Amino acid sequence: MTCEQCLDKLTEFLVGDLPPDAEREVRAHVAACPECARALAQVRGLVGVLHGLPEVEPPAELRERLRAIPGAVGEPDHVWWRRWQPIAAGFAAAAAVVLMLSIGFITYQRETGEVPGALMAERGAPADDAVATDGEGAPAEARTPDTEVAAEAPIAETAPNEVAADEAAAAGAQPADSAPTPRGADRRTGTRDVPTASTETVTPERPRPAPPSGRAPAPEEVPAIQPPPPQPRSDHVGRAADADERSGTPTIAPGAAAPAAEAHGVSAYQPAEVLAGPAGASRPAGPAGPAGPAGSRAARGAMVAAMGAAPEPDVMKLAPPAYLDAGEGGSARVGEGTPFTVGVTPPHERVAGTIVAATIRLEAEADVARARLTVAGSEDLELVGLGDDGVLFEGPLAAGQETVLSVRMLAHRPGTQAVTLRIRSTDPVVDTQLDVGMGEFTAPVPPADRPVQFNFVGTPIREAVAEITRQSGMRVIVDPGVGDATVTARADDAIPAAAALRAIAEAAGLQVSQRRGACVVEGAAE
Amino acid sequence: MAANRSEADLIRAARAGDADAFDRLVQAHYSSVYNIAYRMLSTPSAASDATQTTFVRVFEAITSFRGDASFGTWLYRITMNVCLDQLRRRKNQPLSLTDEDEDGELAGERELPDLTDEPSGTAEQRELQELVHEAIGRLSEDFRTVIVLYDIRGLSYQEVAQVLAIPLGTVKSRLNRARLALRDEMEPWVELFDA
Repeated sequence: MTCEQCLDKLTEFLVGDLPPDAEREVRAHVAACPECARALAQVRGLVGVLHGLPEVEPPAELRERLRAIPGAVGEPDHVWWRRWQPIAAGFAAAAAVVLMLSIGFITYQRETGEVPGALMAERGAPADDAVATDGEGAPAEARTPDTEVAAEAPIAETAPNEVAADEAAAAGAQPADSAPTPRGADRRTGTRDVPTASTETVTPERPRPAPPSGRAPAPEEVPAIQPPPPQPRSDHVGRAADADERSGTPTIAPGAAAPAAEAHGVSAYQPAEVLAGPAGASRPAGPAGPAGPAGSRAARGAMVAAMGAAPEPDVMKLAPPAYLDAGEGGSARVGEGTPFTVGVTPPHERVAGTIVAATIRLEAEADVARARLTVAGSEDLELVGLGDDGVLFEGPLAAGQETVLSVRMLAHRPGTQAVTLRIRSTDPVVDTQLDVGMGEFTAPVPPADRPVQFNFVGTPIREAVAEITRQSGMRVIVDPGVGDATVTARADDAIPAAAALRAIAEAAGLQVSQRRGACVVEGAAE
Repeated sequence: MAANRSEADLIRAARAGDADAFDRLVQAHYSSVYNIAYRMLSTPSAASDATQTTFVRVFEAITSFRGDASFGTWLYRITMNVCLDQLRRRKNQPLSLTDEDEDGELAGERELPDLTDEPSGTAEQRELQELVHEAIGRLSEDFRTVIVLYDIRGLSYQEVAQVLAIPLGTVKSRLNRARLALRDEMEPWVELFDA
């Protein structure tokens, strides 16, 4: 046996997991090889230390953060689906009937040569995807909640595809057989939440807010589609719009919306009318208010130029993205034809690493049969509790009635953060976008920088240090060699905990040093 | 890690949207999750963030948990994925001020025991543990995961294989290499382990 072969078997040897022959070989090699004997002893000692590593007590505030999750995140995924599943099943049945009738109708038309006017109009309007498609071109509503979970599952590169498949499987997106079944594992036959094939083609509605007064949200009223456009719709436009949705960055395709806007009697570029903030009970009218960054304006100018050169009109009113700086609250009027007012109150406490919530108020100036508000974050700003499609609201809006929504977010780093809102509706057809600056997120204050106050009079140094750690959360080692040292010092104004620690150590004739990164109060050096 | 009956009841209730049941699940498991995250990510603040993110993901996906694996396996897998996400994100970020401890600034983020009332022998043991903790943080992600799950959390080979979704033999060989790599990381102090 070589040393390399011996080292390969050390763990199995220590566990007693080797076959007798292999164990004898290792034992014989170790007896004859001082290097491998040493390695065995070191690994054995190391494992002993690993096994003895203490449990670390989680910080008390973590428990509170975790307790807040259900309220902060909202209801779990799929609960809404199960609540609406019976209704969705009804829709499935209705859709099947409609489909059968349509087939029969078309067959009748082919056989008879009669083309009803209504059917001709429909032929010109194949694209109802202003609302009905997601960024992948697939029906957004057809994506099951399980698909969303699977797509969301982050996959470890260290445990590559197996982990991906298995987590997705554990999340319900994979067949049960794809999950590893180790010996002795308890493999129960749980009820799967995956919708049946018949329901996957149905559009399950998300829970909607209470319908506006005087307008019943009759299901058959919702999918109303605008009359056909004067020209056939260009597929490029749909893809450009979808690309916008995915990236949040305007993607200009030939044949985008400016001519369409002109066709509808609006100018090529109408920035959002930003109303005065902060948002609150009243919203004074007028264009005054915070404006977007100059860079954004320049980018939008370039986009307008590109849109102006676009040759083909389109039915969708894809308005240029507007910008609202909601750092201090405010609102903006967006959309053309049927404007929406969007008011945003940013999170009160904006600290990176903490889940916070912003409030969004949506109001349409005219009745909207079906609107969808999606929100997208960024690499640095994760939106919590939203599906991959980012749908925050979907349903009817009554003219002048405000719908208040909450969106939760987690900034992964300090700095200015923004979200992109997109409002789309089918009746009337509107597609508009608003970039909303959420203001500056600050870094969490490390314990060493947290302010502390104290007034120590002849206080034992250990008690004084304990008080500093209690106020700040700092972890400090007090060297046993400090003995019975006491400290008399006071700080009426709050000072950073690290400075306070130095001050009381000096007052006690001690010092604060670093020992492999640890903060240690110990006797002053001679 | 096997789910007992009461835990199964809690999971069923949490799947139905019962926030109180979810909170009891959190209460039962958050310390384990925090400890895994702490050993994976090295700092208390990162461990807290990872714990929070883990339970947010669990909350969002609890209705999809089918029980094919134990809840613990599922939970630890999510925990590991969250930790690995953080490690990758960390690679792309500049050093945080709170991680800085090389230039003489006080590092308030370190989770170190207060040794005030402990005999010096225990203090040395704690220092050794701290050295090991730091060395674990220098291991590759592959090695770190098996060390944390098997040697520190005490999972069996089978459970580690389930959590990481890798074959049993891979767990064994990876664990062996991880221990040797950790020994190499501890090279300056490795004599301390000579029994």
